[in-house]
Amino acid sequence: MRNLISKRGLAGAMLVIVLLATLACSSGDDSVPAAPTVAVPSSADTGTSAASTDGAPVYGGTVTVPATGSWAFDPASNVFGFSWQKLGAGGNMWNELIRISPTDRETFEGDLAESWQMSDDGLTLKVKLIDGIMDHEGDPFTIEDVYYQLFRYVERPNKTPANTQACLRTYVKKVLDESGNKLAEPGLEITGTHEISIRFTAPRASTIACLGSPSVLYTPSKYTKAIDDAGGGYRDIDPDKGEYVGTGPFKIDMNNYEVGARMVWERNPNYFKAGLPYLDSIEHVLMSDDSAILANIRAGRLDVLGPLAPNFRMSEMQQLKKDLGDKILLHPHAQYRWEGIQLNVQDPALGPVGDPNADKVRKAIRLAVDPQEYIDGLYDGEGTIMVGFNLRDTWINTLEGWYSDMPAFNPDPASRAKMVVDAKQLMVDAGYGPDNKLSLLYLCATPTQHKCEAVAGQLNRDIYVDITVALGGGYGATSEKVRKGDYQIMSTAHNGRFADPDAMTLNVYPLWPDGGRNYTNGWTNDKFWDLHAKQNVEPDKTTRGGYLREMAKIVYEDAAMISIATGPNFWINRGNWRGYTPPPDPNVGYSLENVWLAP
Amino acid sequence: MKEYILKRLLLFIPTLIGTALAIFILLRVLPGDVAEIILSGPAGQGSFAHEDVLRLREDLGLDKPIYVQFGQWVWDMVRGDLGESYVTRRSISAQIKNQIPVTLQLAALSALTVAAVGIPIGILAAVRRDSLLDVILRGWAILGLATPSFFAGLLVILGLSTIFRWMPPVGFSHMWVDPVVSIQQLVFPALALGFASNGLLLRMMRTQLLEVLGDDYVRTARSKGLSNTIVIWRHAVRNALLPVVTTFGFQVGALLSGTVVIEAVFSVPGVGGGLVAALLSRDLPMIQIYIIYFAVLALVVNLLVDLTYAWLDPRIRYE
Repeated sequence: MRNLISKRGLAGAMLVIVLLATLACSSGDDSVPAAPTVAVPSSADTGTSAASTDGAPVYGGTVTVPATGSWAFDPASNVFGFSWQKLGAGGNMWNELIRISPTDRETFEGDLAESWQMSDDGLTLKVKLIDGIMDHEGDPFTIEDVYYQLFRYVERPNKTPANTQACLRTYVKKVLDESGNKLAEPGLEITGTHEISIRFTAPRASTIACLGSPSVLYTPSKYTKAIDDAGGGYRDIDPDKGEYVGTGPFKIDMNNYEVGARMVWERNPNYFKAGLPYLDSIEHVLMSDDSAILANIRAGRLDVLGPLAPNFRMSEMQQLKKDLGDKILLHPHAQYRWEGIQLNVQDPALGPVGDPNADKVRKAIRLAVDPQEYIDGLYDGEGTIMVGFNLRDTWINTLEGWYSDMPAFNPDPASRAKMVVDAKQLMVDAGYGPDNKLSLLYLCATPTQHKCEAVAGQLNRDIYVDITVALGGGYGATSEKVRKGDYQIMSTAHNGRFADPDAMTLNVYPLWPDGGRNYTNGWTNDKFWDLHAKQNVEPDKTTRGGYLREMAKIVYEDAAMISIATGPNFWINRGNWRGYTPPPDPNVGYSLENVWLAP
Repeated sequence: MKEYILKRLLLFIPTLIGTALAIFILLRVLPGDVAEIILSGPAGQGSFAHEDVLRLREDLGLDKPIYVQFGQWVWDMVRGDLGESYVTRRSISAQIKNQIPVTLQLAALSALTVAAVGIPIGILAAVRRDSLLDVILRGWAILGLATPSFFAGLLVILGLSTIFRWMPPVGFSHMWVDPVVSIQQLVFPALALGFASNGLLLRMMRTQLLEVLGDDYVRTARSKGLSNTIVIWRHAVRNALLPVVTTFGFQVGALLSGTVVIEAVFSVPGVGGGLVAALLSRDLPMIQIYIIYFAVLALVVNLLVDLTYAWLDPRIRYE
C-alpha cells in the first residue's frame, strides 16, 4: 500500500507535467522553417529586379525578426535608431526618393523617384516623382507629400531632433526665415505636377548620398501635418492613431500590432512596383534577451539577426554558422563607425594645439594607442581599424597607404615597437618620465567602461601617463560633463549616417549648424575645413580622395580626435532567402521587396 | 472577518502612497537625465543640441519641481489616468492592460506546476524517507533552490534549441484564444520560473509530513487499523499542508515578481518583460506603474494567504 500511495502520488504529479509537455511539444514546427505557399508568378508579375539565381521567384512566406528596440517609429524622429524595426521600416514600410540599389548595393537608383537631374552648378536638384503611387490607405502619394517630409527634415516643425537627417539640414537651404515666412528662394519648391526642386547651400559631392540615406524616408503628409499643426510638440507618428502609413511594399497590420509583444507587416497588394513584394509578411516578435535570440535562430524560429547587434561577438556568429551550416547565411562586414578618444585641448596638459609640450603629449598618446590590440581585446580580432573613413573607399587610400600616412595603425610588431619608443621619447621631451608621470582623467560613460579601460590600460603600460578612468554614469550624465568640458580624455563613437565619407565628417566633428552634442574638446583646424570645403565641390573622385586623405592626416597629426577601430558587424538570414544582397554596411536600406523564400 | 478585511484593505492606501513616494523619489535621484537618455537613443548613438534636451524636459514636465510632478502623478492616478510612456508615447493603461493577463497566465501556470509537482513529490520523499529516491528528490530540491530562475531559463532554452532543435512558437497567444499554443509558449517559462519554488515546496512538504507522521494521533490512527493511504492522505497530509499552503502563497508572490527575469529570457510579453524594458530605457512613468502594480500584487497575495490560513485552520480567528 505504501508503494501504491507513492506511485499514485508520483503519477498524479507527473500526469500534469506530461500533459503540459505533450501539449507543448505537439507542434508541427521543426527546425526548418515551413516552405512558403508557392505560386509561380507570371513573367509580367516578375518584371522587376529580383535577383533570382536559384529558379524563378515564388510568392508567399513570412520572415520573423526579433524586436529589440523601441516600438515607436517616425523617420523624422531622433531615436530612429539601429534596431531592425527602425532600419527595416525604411524600404519596407516607407520608401526613399533615391536609394542605393538593394541588388548591387553600390549604385543609386530611383525608389519613389522616376528620375533626377542636378543643375550644372550643383546647386539645384530636380526630382520627378513616379506617377500613380498610392499609400497604404489607397490615397495618392503626391509631390506635396515629398515636399512636406523634406520640409520636416529641414525645418523640424515637429521640434523633433532628427539627427539622422542632419546632412539634409546642413546641405539644403532653409525654407523659412526666422519669423516663419517663406524665403524668396527656399530650399524646397514644387516646380511641377510631379516635380520638386531642392536647392542647396553649396554644391556637394555627397548630395545624392545624403538624399539616398536609408533614414531619409517619406510618409504621407496627411498625418504628419496634423501633428505639426497641433502645436509642434515632440511626438512621433503613432500607429494607434492610424498614422503609420507609408508607400512601401509592406504595411502594418493593425490587427496584429501589440506594443511590446508582436507586430506584423503584411504585403501591400497595391505596391507601386508591379509584382512585388514576394513575401506575405514580416513578423516582429519581442525578443530582448540575447541568449533567447541566439536560441531562436538555432531553432529556426527567427529568420534575421542584425544589423548592429552590439551585444553579440563575431565568434558567436561564426560558431552559429558552423553549427547550422547552410541553414543560415552569415554576412560579416565592417561597421562604418568611428570609435576612438578625444582629448580636451582646452586642458593645459593637452592643449591648445600649437603648444609644444601639449602637442607632444597628444602625439605620444596617438602613437601609443594600438588599434590591433584594441580589436583583439574587444572584438576577438574581428574589428577594423578606423582611419577616419571607410576602408572600403579605396579611392581615398589603400590600406598600405593608410599605414604609410598613419603608422600608428600599422599592426606590424616592428612598427608597433617603434611607435611605443617614439611615444616614450615624446613624453620625455614634454617633461615626463617614469618618476614623473602625467596624471590624466579619462571620463567614461559606464556602458563603455570596457573600452575605456582597454585604452587606458595600453597607455598606462606603454608611456609615462597615469590615467584614471572615471565613470560618468550613463550616456546622458556623461554628455552633461562633456558639455561642461569637465574631462581630459573621453571615449567617442559615432556612426556614419549615409554612404559617403562626408557622413563621418558630419557626425564626428563639431560641424553641424545645430551643434550636435556640443562636444567641447576645443579642437579645430582651418586647413582641415579648407580641405573639407574643397572636397565638397570636387567632382573628380581621385582628387576628392586626395583631399579626404589630407584631412585624415591632419586629424592624425593634431591628435585631438584619435580614431582607433570599429567592431565587426554582420547580418544573418536564413539560408532559403533568395533575391537578397546583404548590406555591406549599415548605411543602406533593408528593403525585403525582392526577397523570396526558396521552397 | 469582514472588519478585518476592510482594515487590511484600508491599510493598502498608506502602503501604496509610501511605495509610490519612494519609487518616485528614487527614480529621480538616479544619475542620468531622462531627456538625454531618450535623445541618445537605444544604443546611445543619438546626437542632439542642448536646446533639444531643454525642450524635451519641458515636454515631459521634468522641468517642474519634484513635488509638483509627484502631486500631478498621484492626482492623475486617482482619476484613473496612468499617464503616457516616455518612450512609446502611448497610454500606459493600454500597454499594461495587455501585459497583465500574460503575466497572470504565466504565474498561474507556474503555480500550478509548482503545486502539482512539489507537493506530491514532497509527500513521496517523506513516505520513502532516507531511501535512494528520497536522496535524489532532496538533491533535486536543493538544485532548484540553488539555481537562479534566469539561469534555469537559459538552460531550458539552450536544451530545447540545441538538443531538440525546438522552441515554443514565437509571439504570444492568450489561453482563451488558442489554449494549445498558449500552453506551448508558457509551459517552459513556467517550469523554469517555478524551479526554485518547487524545491522549496518539496522540502517543506517533506519536513512537515515527517513531523506529522510522528505525532500521537497518527500513531492512534494506525493502531485503529486504518490503511496507510487513509492515514497519510486523510490524517497526516491535511495537517501537514497548513504551513505548506502558507509558503505556497508567498511563493505565488515570488513567482509573480520572478516573471521580471523569466519573461525577458523567454520573450514573454508580460509585465515583467515590460518592466525590464522600461528600466533599460529609463521610462519613468512606466516603471512607476509597474512598481505600484507589483506592490498591489504583494499586498493582495499576503491578504489572501492570511485568509486562506484562517480557512484551513478553523482555530485561527481574525478580529
